[in-house]
Amino acid sequence: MTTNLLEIRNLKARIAEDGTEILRGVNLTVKPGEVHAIMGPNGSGKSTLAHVLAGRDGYEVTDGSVLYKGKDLLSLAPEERAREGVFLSFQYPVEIPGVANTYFLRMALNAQRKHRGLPEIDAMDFLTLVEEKARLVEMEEALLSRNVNEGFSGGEKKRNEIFQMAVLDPSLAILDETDSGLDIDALRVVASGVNSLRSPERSMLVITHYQRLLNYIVPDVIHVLSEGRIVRTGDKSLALLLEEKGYAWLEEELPVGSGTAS
Amino acid sequence: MARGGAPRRERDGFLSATAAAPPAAEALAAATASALGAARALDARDASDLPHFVRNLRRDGLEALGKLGLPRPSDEEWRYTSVATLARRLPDLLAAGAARGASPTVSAAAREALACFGPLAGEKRGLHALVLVNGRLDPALSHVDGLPAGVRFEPLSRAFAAPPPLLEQRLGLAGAHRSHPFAALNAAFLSEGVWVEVPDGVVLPEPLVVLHVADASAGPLACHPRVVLTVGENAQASVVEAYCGVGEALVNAVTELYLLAHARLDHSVLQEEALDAFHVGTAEAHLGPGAQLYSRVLSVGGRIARNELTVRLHGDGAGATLDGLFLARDAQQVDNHTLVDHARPHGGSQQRYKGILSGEARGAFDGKVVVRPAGAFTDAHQSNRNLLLSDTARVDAKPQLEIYNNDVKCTHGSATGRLDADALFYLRSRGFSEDEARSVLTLAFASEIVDRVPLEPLRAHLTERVLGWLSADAPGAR
Repeated sequence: MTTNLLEIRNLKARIAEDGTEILRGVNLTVKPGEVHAIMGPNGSGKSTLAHVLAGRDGYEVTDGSVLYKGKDLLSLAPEERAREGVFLSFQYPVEIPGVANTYFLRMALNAQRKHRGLPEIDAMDFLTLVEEKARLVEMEEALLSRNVNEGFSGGEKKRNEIFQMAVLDPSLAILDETDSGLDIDALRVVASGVNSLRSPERSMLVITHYQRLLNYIVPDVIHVLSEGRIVRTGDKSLALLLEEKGYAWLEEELPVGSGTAS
Repeated sequence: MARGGAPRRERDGFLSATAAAPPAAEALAAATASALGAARALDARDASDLPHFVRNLRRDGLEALGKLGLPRPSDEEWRYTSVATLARRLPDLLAAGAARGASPTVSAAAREALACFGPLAGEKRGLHALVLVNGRLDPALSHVDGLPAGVRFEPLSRAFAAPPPLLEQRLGLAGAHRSHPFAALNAAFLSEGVWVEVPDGVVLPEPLVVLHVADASAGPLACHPRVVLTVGENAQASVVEAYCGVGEALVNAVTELYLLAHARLDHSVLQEEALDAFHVGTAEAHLGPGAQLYSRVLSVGGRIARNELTVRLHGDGAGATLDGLFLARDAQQVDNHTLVDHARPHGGSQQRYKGILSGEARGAFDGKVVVRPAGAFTDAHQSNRNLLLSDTARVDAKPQLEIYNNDVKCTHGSATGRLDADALFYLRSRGFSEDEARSVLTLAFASEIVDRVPLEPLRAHLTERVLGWLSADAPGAR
């Protein structure tokens, strides 16, 4: 039997500032190498789930637990989660003027290596790694030496996220609305980059509002999040059903609180 | 307004209009009286050896100081600077230094402070450096060799002994000593400094470095160095003025920069005084037609530091870039004042001042751009951005434009904020610790100024200063 990479049990979380409940008991289990899609309407809690898993400030976990590689993920600082192999691809990647992309990435990589007891990466090895991974998402070399995301187009920012993921080689990648703001060509490039990173050692949570992305990144499992709970779990055909009938159909079928979550 | 006029102190009448709290007023009056007394005593000792124009300048300074007095807290130009704190210490600072007389050898601690400027002053790089310890030239630490013909880079004391023809014409020409209390104080005590003369058409390949060391390890002291610099027509030079020290000192520096037609000067001030020192730097630059000044001021030291820079564009098509970076922590106060005076058409100026403050530090940016009626087609921009790293740090920003010509392009702006929470989380989500993330973002904030420094050793020095400041400021280091 394979050990689970991620086990989310009855996770409840609210916004710290005003106490609004967002996650109302999420249960989810991801095995190594699996790609899970989390779909759901706006406001269902998809991004909150991603942020809580990555350790963002501003949320309070009120109940439940998250085990990652058997460890209590929620007790770790965001940087510790990253060094343990959790990667969040941001819906809105942040521009950081004054910090060069490659400098940033090398520091990030070395922070992980240090955590794993490895020496800092050699400058030439880093260069080779960066060039190889940049090709995966067709990142132009000019973008590598520019400041992190500064002045990047929406598509370039998303490519940069997947490029970082490729270099940092996480065990769990959480892709938060990676398709938003991408035209069809950029979407293909980004999705093919993601697909090339699929491996038995890497699991992914692909968070998306639209079924479109799942034509390119075909998940093993699809979950539907609604009002802070997973209300339906199925295979890829679930996405097509949602595309056809919309989220309203689910809410009719499964009133909130019906307790049929996986 | 006449050339050399001083718009910033036109309202002298109000110095006596608002009474300050009695203890501060008494301290100010006592400090002024003790300064006048000490200056007269100095003059009685050594004036006979000085050329007449130096004695005149001292006398003018003395008179102006007597008339103006030290600035009061109610003086608008000085509202952000705690002159009262300095005034209470001024009698001791002036008396103790004078009583000890000529400085002995540099203390080990002062040597250590000086060593921070290693790459800038190092003989290996072939840079030219004059080192002034407590306002006096230290020939053993200085190193000037192989300057192009006609270039003068020498201590004022030597220039006074055999005055070059230009010296009398230049010394005090900027005129701040008539209207500015600390420039007046500097003039009243004038005995040492640096004279720089770059003849027409000469391009200096290496920077000239003036290192001021205030070594107060044996007790408090005051020094009043002056740098007077002329860059001739079509000449080019790069000058670094660096300040460091140990212990409680007042360093009251005056810099006069004269750029003739189409001259180019890259001028850096590195204010890295001891944390218990007082620093008042008053610099004034006069630009002829087509002259270009690149100025940058790094201010990290001093308990109370005031950096003043006045740039007067007297010639058509002159241009000035004013970059500033000030870092303050704990109870430090740093006060930056700029005045860019566009007196002629087709001038350009670009100001970028950035402040980073933590702890209980106080900072100020008071910058003014004046475009006179004759300043048509002026292109002037001013920006001030400040980063607060604690809830208790504070910055006062006062950007001002005074425009008397309609045909100009002028902008100004100021913003003060905290580190961006989204950026901090972004970095942490990639494995940076919170401290690393803060320091990367803070360094990035400073990089806009640092990255523009054209001289590599100077750029490296600035980067190191900022990094050093950050690591000393990190929670773990306190």
